[in-house]
Amino acid sequence: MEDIPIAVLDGLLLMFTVKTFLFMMIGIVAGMFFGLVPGLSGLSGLGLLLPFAIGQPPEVAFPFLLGMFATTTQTDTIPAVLIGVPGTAAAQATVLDGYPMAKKGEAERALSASYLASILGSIVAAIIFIAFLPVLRPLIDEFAGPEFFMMAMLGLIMAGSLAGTSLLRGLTMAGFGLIISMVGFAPNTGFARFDFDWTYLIDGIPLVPVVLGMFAVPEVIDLLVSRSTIASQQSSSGGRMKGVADAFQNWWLIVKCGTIGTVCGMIPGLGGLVAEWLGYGHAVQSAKDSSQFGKGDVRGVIAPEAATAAQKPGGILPTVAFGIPGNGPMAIMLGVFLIVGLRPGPEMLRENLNITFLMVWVTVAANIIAAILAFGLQRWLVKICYIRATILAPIVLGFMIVGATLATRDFGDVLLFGIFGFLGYIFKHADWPRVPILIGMVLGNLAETYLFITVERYGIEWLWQRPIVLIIVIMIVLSFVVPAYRLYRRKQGEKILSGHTVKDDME
Amino acid sequence: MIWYRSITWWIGIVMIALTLIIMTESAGWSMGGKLFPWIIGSGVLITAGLHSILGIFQGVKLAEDEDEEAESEKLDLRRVLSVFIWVLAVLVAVPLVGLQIAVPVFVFLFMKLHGETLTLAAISALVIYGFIVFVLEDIIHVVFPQALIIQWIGF
Repeated sequence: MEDIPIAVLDGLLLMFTVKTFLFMMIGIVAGMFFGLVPGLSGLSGLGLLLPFAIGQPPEVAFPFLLGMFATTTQTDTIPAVLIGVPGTAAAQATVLDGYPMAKKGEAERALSASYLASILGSIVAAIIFIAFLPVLRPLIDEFAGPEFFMMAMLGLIMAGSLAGTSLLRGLTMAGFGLIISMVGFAPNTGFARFDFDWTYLIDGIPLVPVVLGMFAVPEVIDLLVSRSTIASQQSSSGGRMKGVADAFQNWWLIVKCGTIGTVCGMIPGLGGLVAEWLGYGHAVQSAKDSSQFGKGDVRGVIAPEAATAAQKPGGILPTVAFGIPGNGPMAIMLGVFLIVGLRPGPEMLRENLNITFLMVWVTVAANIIAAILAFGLQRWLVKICYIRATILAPIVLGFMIVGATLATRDFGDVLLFGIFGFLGYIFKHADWPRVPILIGMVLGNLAETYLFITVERYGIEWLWQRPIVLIIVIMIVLSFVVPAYRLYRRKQGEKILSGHTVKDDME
Repeated sequence: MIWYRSITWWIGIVMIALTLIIMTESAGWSMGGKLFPWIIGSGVLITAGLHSILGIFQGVKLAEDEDEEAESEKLDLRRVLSVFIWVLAVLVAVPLVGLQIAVPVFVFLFMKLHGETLTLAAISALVIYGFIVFVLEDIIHVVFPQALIIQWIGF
């Protein structure tokens, strides 16, 4: 355990090396842009930056991508507060109180409170992360092929069952992601499969065109279709220091919401949106006087911002420890792990512990740097929210096509980008969740390798002879049963409610 | 029995068909080869099959209310089609004439034809051209695939 403080320090020092810091700063600036523009998101940004990270060493690739990803939730608050339009989905709850505050002339108070809440929320997550490691490491030593395979299945099933509105659709999509991962050389037998005699597919479907197509194209198309114009800018004068004081006064709320956010980040399938609403809900429930929520209560800004900021470092833990990404962006990160030659699991908690801590430090530092930049450049940054879709969308689409082609530098990338863009648009509007596909696709090869090793080594006895496997099986069953039971209860409730209303109407 | 279902329901059917193809294709492989496709395929058949069966008897429940959306979707359909045609055009143009030409031309034409000024459209196109040629090709030495037209002409 004595290596943990050394790795913590080593990770911190690594962040301040010139190349790492420079790439992190580029990532932060890009993330601020993606957070500001309503319609784009951290996932689109990650897809766009991913081709430029490939080929870089881990200590450059991760700060570059995480710097981008961690920052979107700082700047997405600016349009949420000033114009009532969340920059990303993770700022929806912030609108409820942030926008009324702006209408009352307290925009700067709301923004500065949110920046500080995000910083403190990410610090809470980092502390939880460090506290968890000594507990996690002996546990991970007990893991072998069967446990890792079952963890991959648990991650997929949880992601599938918690993402979107339908359990069956989510699970089907996770399976679809695994099917996509089967294209190309089989990891166990070495023969090419499902490649349609197209040499491009022999190495498998590359991640970049799929991510860009599936997640960024639908957003850009919707941006162009809506051609959203924003009516008027709200006053944003005064109240900066009051916002800072608000955040410090509500430090306990930040600690609680930071913990909620961290846990949400660790559970596959939850993510920023759930973290934010849980944080907001907790703030309302725990408040002695909740009458001002929705009308401009600063706690309604602080709580969701602390939760979303904490969710990001929280998502790193299952990704590095078990290779189970907590959400879509972490699935991309897991893809980067495999591309740069790192293997999640014990290796990341021992030999490469400094890289693990570098990732945590980057999410914290990115929040602090982005907050300082946003604080100083707020008046100019807000103008980005007003860029017309007809200017922004073609440029972003152009960069996306370039980015997609960088994957293998083959026109097959462009074709895949188009196919997955079309599929992504259909899936988005037909209410089929897309994140489980990504998680399935990234986990596919790992899961198949673990399954093969497990069956070869243990036959089928591992299913009932290994206690950790049994615990994971119980967790898998629960992850099926609990959402299904909740859905059943909700439907029953809706039936009772609608029956009552009809009866009332008849009377 | 209602045979027409929303696209959400039909996607489930496509998933079943795809899974059946995967499982049929892998049926003749060795145990090690077909193990994973069959385990995952069986799972997808169960979930997508249940989704389809429940969809027939209960209908498909969506996140948003379809009735409310229907009106705005009708209005947007032409825009959606127009955007898709633009995207399709640039995706076809990239292999044909090359990334370096297709992407800046797309940016310029799209902006110009959607009411942006000539100067702004030209600057945007030049910026993206500069990024591809000077940053990616000259500085980072990225080698993009040759345009099909160039290959056909024989250069």
